[in-house]
Formats: sequence, structure tokens, C-alpha cells
Amino acid sequence: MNYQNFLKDIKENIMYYLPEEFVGSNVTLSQVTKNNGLKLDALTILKPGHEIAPTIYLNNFYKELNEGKEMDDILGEISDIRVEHDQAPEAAENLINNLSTMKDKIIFRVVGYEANKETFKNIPHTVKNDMAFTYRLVVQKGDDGVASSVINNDLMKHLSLDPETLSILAMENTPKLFPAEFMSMNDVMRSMMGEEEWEEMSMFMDMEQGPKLYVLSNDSKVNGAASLFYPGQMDVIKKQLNSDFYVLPSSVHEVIIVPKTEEITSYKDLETMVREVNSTGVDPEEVLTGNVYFYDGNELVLAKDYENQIDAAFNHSSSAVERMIKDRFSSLDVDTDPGYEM
Amino acid sequence: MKPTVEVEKSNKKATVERLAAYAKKTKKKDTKENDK
Repeated sequence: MNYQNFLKDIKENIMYYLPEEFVGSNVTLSQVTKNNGLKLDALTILKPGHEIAPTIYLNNFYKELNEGKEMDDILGEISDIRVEHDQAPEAAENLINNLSTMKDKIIFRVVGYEANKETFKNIPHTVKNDMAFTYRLVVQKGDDGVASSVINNDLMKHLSLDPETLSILAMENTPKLFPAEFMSMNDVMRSMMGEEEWEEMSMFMDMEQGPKLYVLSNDSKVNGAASLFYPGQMDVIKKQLNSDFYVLPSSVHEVIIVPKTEEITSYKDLETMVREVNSTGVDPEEVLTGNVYFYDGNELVLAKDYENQIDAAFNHSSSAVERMIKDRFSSLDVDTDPGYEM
Repeated sequence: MKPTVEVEKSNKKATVERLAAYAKKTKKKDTKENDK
């Protein structure tokens, strides 16, 4: 089935999967610009007498169809999501009119700065290296996903807030609402794949070999890369690993942590790996950035800047030593030419 | 004011594929080094 027919099928058949209270709903499809400027197809099912409805994105469901999932199961799942988040739009409306409750629901996410520059004209954001934090209001968090509203300039104005206050509130709320999860990559994959698939994969590669990789995300696995910036989080990891570490921006949903060991002589190999995986194994709307970062206990920096600083310091100290030796010998008036003859 | 509410769900399969891509690259590299 091609993608356009898939969208048509969803629109025509979703009503058969929804409970009776949805009879007479208006089903619409639209395109919404998401992370990295990507346009996603969105479904809204507006119940009679209502003015707003949650938006459900369909692109991932099409991938699942191509991976063998039945259309019947996909329609059932979309129906479950719609039912679970039925009250979300009204809840959002109530939330933005209740300042004291609303303040506890402001969270932040992290996205790549360059690829989202255009949308930042309308969205309050905080720049961090080559990334940026954006802010959202969480309306509902359940088994069938996270319902939230983006805080744009209009909403920020409506809430009488400024970017600085948004940032302070979000840094306080996000770790509480979406606790960080830090595990070895093997443990994460094993728990997500299930034993059978894990055993199969272990037959093709020795998972205990090579540099030890860790995954940092949040408990919902949605936009979990933000957990890297939770207050004190990087220090917790450094202490746990007893090592400085590199950060690979695996996606907006998680980052990969690689302890600095002698095996890794330069960030360049890691950066090549990130760029290769970004171009072949990550959905474009889920890409975070193509750069590698480094944390040594001070602040998160681009790994290339860190290594350039180290090189510069090394070159500076080498030339200082050279100068010192030269001065010493010239003051002794000694011929420094070893006088070797070939 | 009517805020837009979006529902986002984690995609377990996509996550596993991303992590497996990194695992394959690091393990592959290490195997080569061991083969030397």
C-alpha cells in the first residue's frame, strides 16, 4: 500500500474503531512542521460540540505497516490513543488559565539549533552549544504517549512569562515529570528487544567487546536527550563511570555516553559514526545534531573544541620548552649542533 | 486561547534500530582491531 492510500484508509476507517461517543466526529488530515523543519501528517478527530482535539502523527504507523503490522492493529492503536487523550485539549485550556497549576507542568526539550533556526522566530528558546532548549506544557502522560503543547511566543505572553522564567521552571519540573534513566546499552537493548532477539543479535557480535556504551534517556523514551541537561546529571554520570565522557547525540529521544578511555584517541571516529548513523538509521525529524560533545567535570563542550584546546596547550608548552632549552644553551655558549656526519 | 495539543509516543523498534547501529559499528571496529 502506498503512503497516500494509507492516509486515505486511516481517514475513512478510523470511525469504525472508535467508541459510540465519537459518532458524528469530524476527521481531518493536515501537515504540521516538526523538529528539523520536517512536515508530518497529523490526524485530528473532533467530536461534535468540541472546538479542539489532540493531534496524532501518522508517519510512524506507516513504517509499522511496512514492517508487517496489520492495518487492523494500527487503526485500533490510533483509536486507543485518541480515547486516552480525549480530555487533553480541554485540560490544556484549563491549564493555561490556571497559573499555579500551569507552572508545575512546564518542561524543556532539546533540539539542534541550526536545523530549527526558522521556527525559533516564533518560539522562546535557550541556545546551548549547537543545540537549543524549547519549552512545552505537559497535559497528560500515559501508556499511549505524552500529550503536550508547545509554548510559542503567543502562549508565553498569555502566561505572562519570559524565557528566563520558563527556563528556571522547566529545569525544576522536567526531572520530576520525566525522570532520567541511565543504563548500559546492552541492558537497554536487551530489555527492549526481548530475550530471543537479543540472543540472535549476540550470535553476530560479541556485545561485551569494544568500548562500553551507555544510554541516557527519560522514563517515557520520548525526547529523553533533554535529561543530559538536568541539574547535576552530568556529574552523576561522571561519578558513576569514574571518568570524563563523550556524548553522542543518538537522537532527540536519547544520547549515548562513551567513557573516555585509551581506546578512543580522537573524537573524529566517534563523529564519523554519528554522522553515518544519522544519515542511515535515524528518522530525519528525530536527528539531534551531527557533533560529538565532551564532559570533563566543568561544562559540556563540543569535543572538537576540547581537543583543539588540548592541542593548543600542548603546542604552547612544547614551544615554551624549546625556547627554554635554546636560551639555556645559548647562555652557556655551547654549540648545540650534534655534529653527526652521514 | 486554544492551544494545540500533540500526542507523541515512543517508537521502541526505531530506538532499538538506532542503538543497534551504534553497537554494530563499535563492535565491528573492535573485531577488526582484535583480528590484527
